[in-house]
This record gives sequence, C-alpha cells and structure tokens, in this order.
Amino acid sequence: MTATRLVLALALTLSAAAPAAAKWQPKPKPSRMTEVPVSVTDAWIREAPPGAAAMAAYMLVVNPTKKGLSLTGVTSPAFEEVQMHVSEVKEGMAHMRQVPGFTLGPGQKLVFKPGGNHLMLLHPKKPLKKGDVVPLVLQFDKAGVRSLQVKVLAQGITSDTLQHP
Amino acid sequence: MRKLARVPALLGLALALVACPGRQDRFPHAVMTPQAPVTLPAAALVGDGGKPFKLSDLAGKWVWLYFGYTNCPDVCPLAMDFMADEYKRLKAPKAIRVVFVSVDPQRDDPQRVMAFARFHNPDFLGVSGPDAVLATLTHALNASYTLDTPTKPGGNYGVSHTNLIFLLDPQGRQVATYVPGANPGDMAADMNALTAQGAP
Repeated sequence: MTATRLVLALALTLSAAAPAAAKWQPKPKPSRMTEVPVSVTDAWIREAPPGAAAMAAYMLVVNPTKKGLSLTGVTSPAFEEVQMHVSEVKEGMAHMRQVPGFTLGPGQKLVFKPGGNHLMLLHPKKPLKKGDVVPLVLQFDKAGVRSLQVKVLAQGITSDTLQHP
Repeated sequence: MRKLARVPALLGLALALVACPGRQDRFPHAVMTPQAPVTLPAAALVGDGGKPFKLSDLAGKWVWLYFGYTNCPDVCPLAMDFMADEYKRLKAPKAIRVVFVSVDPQRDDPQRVMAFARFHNPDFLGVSGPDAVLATLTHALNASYTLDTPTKPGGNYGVSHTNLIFLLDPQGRQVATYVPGANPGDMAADMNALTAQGAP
C-alpha cells in the first residue's frame, strides 16, 4: 500500500465514522461569547456631571429570531457594575427598581428610554464625556451575547429627539 | 341708604377680583395650586462650598424647587433637563432661581450637589441638608422621599422621591406645583405671564 492509498483509506474511514461519533458526542454548548443576532438601535448614554457615580444607557433592542430570549445581564469594561432598572412615576413619586432581566419573545422589542427601562451604569472607571464611546455587552442567558459600542451624548436629548447617533 | 352703601363695596369686590385673579388663573399650567400660599419652615440647608443656605436667601425671586439625588441617572436628569429647557424660554430669567435639593445627603456632599445642578445650567443651585431639615421641608410641601434598601450590603441604593416642581413666590411661599416632562413651554409661559405683569 502506497502512502497515498493509506491516506485515502484513512480519510474514508474517518468520514464514515464522523456521523456516528456525532450521535454520542455531547452537542457543544453555545460559547458565552456567541453573538446572538439581536438588533440594537438608538443606543446612547446620557452625559453626566464630572465625578458622577451613576449614568444611564438607553436603546431599542429587537429580537428578530423565532426563539424567545432573556436578557440576563449587562457588562462593560468602562464601569464597575451595570444594573438593569425600571423607573416608575406613580402619583408624583419616582421609584427606581432593579430587575434581574427582561424577556424578549420572538419578534418582540424591548425599549430602554428616559423615565422607563434603563441600564444603570455604576462607577465609571474613568470620567466620561460627550462623544466618548463605551463598549457594552448584553448577555442573553445561554444563547450568547450582543456586543455593542455606545456613544455618550449630551444631556437634554430624549428618545423623541434622538435619531441615529 | 343701605342699598347705596353696598354699591362701593360691590365695586370694590369686583375690582379686587380683576386685580387678584384666582390662583389657578395665575398658574394655568400648574398641576396643583394650594388653597392658600404655603409658608415654608425656615429650613437650615447647606449650599455652595458647605455654606449655610436658606430658601429665604432667595426672597424677591421666584423659585422652581425640585427634590432628587445625584446618583439618580434617569428621572432626576430628565427633570433637570426639563427645567433647563423651560429656563431657556424665560423672558426674565433673573426673576427666578432654580434650586435642586438633594434628599441623599449621605452621598451628596455640597460640591457634588452643586456640580449636578450647574451641569444642567450654570445658573442653577444645588443644595442639601441634614435629614431632619429635609424631612421638615418636604413635609411642608406635601412631598416625601425614602431611601431604598440596597440589594447587597453596602451596595448601591436608589431613593424614591417626589417628582414634582414646586413654584415658590418671591415671599418664599409655595403657590403652585408643576410636573416635569409636561408640555414643553407651559411652565415657562406661566412664569413669563407673571413677570410680564410685574408680579408679585
């Protein structure tokens, strides 16, 4: 048997064995860093006074897939911690509530906007000003992540006036 | 004779009604106006650089007063942006002062509160004070605040607080209440009408 035939035989054996092996091998879990095809638009961070301990990020998240997704956490290397919050104003009282996450059904959208859902960005590692761009990672449980770059925009901008930063 | 005597009295009443329109007429865009102007307690607050500050220091000026805290990343900046926008619409901005009162004095030192207020407009004032003083002041305005429990010991906490803007007249009395985020220009329009009339 020549070397060429040996390689060919080995290749055939392996190709025949491969489907069988797939049956018993555990299906690989999606990597924590798998990017999920979630659409994120109009993302921005509200500029805060120098030395501010907390900032807020807003965006529109749409799940275009046919599977439900759960937003279970958000991280950013620019902040010590990112929390998910809901602001509510009832009978003149403003309350801010931390939530463990949000669910996004197939085709559903999730709105983060001033006075409503927002990402609370705690303790910036360095002062941020208008025009700075900050990486954020949205963790969708085991499905994967959606990484994005979010710009710090001037105060006074609301979701109504916001176009596409 | 008695009937004739009533004429000047009725005339006087009519003139008084014209001269002193109802409070709601004076503040048509307010969400609430008290039955009578509310006199506030002499609250010993802390202002710029830690110096004592009283609302009576602003006697002669109208005041838009808002309670919040600087670690509030969403609702408070929204209200401050709203006031900054209304302030820009004023025809006589020197007739009014805008005061942000932090109800979170544990975290908000005088520098931080002032920086927060001035960030939204350099003319704005940021003050705070001891809890007991804040409690008395908010109570007089029928406002309130509560520190929420942190989710973990020593962790970040929110503060639930009244999200309204109180209008104080040049005598330091509360005469109307506005809602932040209401129709843009309305709160400034009320103020412009008052200053155009030479009110108080």
